[in-house]
Amino acid sequence: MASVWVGFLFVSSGLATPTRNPYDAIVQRNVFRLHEPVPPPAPLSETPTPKDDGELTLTGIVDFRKAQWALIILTEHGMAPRRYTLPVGQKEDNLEVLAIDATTATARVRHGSAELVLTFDRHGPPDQRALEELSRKYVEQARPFVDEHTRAHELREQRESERRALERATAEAELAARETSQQQ
Amino acid sequence: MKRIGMSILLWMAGTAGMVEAQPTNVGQWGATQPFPYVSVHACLLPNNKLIFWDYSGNARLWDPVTTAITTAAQPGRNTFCAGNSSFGDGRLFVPGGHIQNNVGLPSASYYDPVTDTWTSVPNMNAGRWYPSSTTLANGDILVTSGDDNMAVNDLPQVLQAGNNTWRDLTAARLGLPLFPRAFLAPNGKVFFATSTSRYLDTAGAGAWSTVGNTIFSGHDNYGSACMDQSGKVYWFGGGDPPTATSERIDLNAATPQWGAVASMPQARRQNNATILPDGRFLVTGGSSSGGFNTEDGPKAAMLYDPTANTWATLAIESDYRGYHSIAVLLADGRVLSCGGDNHANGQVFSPPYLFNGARPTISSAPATVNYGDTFFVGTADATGITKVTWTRLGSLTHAQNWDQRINVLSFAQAAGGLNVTAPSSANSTPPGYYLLWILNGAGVPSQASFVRIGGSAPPPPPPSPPVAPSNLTAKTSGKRGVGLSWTDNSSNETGFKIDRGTDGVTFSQIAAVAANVTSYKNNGLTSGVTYYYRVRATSGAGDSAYSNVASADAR
Repeated sequence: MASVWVGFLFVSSGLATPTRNPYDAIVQRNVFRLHEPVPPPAPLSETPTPKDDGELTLTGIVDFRKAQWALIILTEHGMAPRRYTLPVGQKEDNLEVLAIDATTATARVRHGSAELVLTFDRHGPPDQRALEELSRKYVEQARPFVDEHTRAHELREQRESERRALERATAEAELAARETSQQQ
Repeated sequence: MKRIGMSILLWMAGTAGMVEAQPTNVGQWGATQPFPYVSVHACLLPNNKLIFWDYSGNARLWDPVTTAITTAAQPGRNTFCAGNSSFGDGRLFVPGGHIQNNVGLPSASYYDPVTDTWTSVPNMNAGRWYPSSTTLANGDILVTSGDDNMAVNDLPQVLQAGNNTWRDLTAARLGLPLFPRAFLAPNGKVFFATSTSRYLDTAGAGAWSTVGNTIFSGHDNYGSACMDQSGKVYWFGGGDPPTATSERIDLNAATPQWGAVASMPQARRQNNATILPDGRFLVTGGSSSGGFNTEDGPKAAMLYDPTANTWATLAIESDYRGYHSIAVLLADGRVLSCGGDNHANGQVFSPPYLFNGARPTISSAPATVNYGDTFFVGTADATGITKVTWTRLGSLTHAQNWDQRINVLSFAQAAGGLNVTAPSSANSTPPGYYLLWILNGAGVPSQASFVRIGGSAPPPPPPSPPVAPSNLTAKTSGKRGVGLSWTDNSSNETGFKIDRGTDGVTFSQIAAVAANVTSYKNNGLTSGVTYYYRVRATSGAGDSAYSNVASADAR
């Protein structure tokens, strides 16, 4: 029997939220895995060190009777994400799949010099659709404010265009007078 | 466990973009990342995090390496529609904010990325909604424009970084557009690339001088302006309907004036222009249709080469980015494009130079340098390096990057690296943090190192309010008058405020006197009434506590 695992990550943890925030409901659900501020970052005098080895995301395991593949995305700093479909024993770039266990939906890989077991819990992709849904709801809640704000700007731009035209005419006269003065 | 058909379909959808893209020529957009808020404001910090906030000032940090979004300290007021620019030591200054449309906050504060804290500075003269914030050569920050209460605040003010006090440019009051695009110019003045362009001399009480009009009158209606490495300022887009017109002014010319350069391949407004490590400008997002923010679909990135005066059309972004969108150069050479009304997400663009072969690598670089210093940059790729630049960390809102600028740095090969010379002028290089890049002959930039130039230690905390006066006495003085005297206990007051009441409980201010004055005569009183007085000292940092209450009868 063929089977395929696809990773979903569901997260719910506490979050301290700002007060008087119209979007508190979204924040409190915390699907973005926001958390309290991390310990203070390194002092400014230290140059940030980019990550070199990249991050692996397990996006699927395909298990046919005679073949298995691990579906993995490698995200390296400053590079476009690279996708791999690798059977056991195959190496591509710096990534090699050592073993696949379809029962537990895990893949043991060697990434550079490191060996690790990829699981959907720890290395699976976030539930993109859920995140998008939350962003969409936020946008909908913000829309009345956005519309009012835009109208205010449209009105102000009418005034501004009049001010701008007057200012330009004044500047042209000033510069013309300056030029005449210099010629004399 | 999911069925195989669905799973393979999902995976195929994820790979489709890779096949279509030709990144060597047009670059490549990454996956769209949902954001919890619309990133109306965004600033790259020296710790390689991007702080952003939305319509309510909800501040978050985005990590360019992991893409994780975490909560930042909150500013304590609504910083939507505030200004943003950086101090020399990397703190982010944010003046003004939102009370309601066209009504701004007078408060200002700075965000310290080291401590993840916001600290207030004394209030500005009045509210500012859509002010510009410009870092000056000495590290002070000029704040201009912004609506106070349905009308523009016309007083330019300079926040003095050394003591966090305001200096008012009282001789330079001028009504300006909202968010005027302003640049520290090579001559040390601040150039306003507004429709009628001007210099502001920030010395003393300030002085304006007219430079000239732009060719297209409407650029400052949500076009994007930026400065190249040689003091030339460019306008890209803006206007309603939007223009494709681009123009340039050379601030090093004897008589600077705007002149046309190659037009953009497509008209835009609400677009963002980003300086890349190689000195080219990447224009992203915007609307090509008339109207304030007409959502007319995703746009191709456009690349302008100021040397060749040519444009190239690059890959198309996945989402529309209009009003309230941002784009910022990251330390890995990519550009984050995100936000815009109704679009709470972001997408990272990898410019074509990231697909032109191996990247040179910086193995070491100093964390700080001084003006004119020659410093060593370690790299195993020294022999292949043809260009060294640095770009100031970006801070954006409303289609403008207020901090970005670029310097091309002279260099020489040395054993194991390069000897690079820092600029000698703070006019071309205001103090602060820069992304240091080395580029090889194929135009491929390294990942950047963060380097700070100038910018001393953080200034002391805001000054304390003056000490309260004491020993207030009140004596009947002449006909219908009361004379007051008090002891001045403060050395930093700018004056005294005098309150009066008739019940000893409720008071209102009746007068203000200058610093070091210790007496006041209150005339024109009503005979037979007992008057109560109290006095307090005042300064830009606030008011002192009150003195004791004293009373006297008027005859």
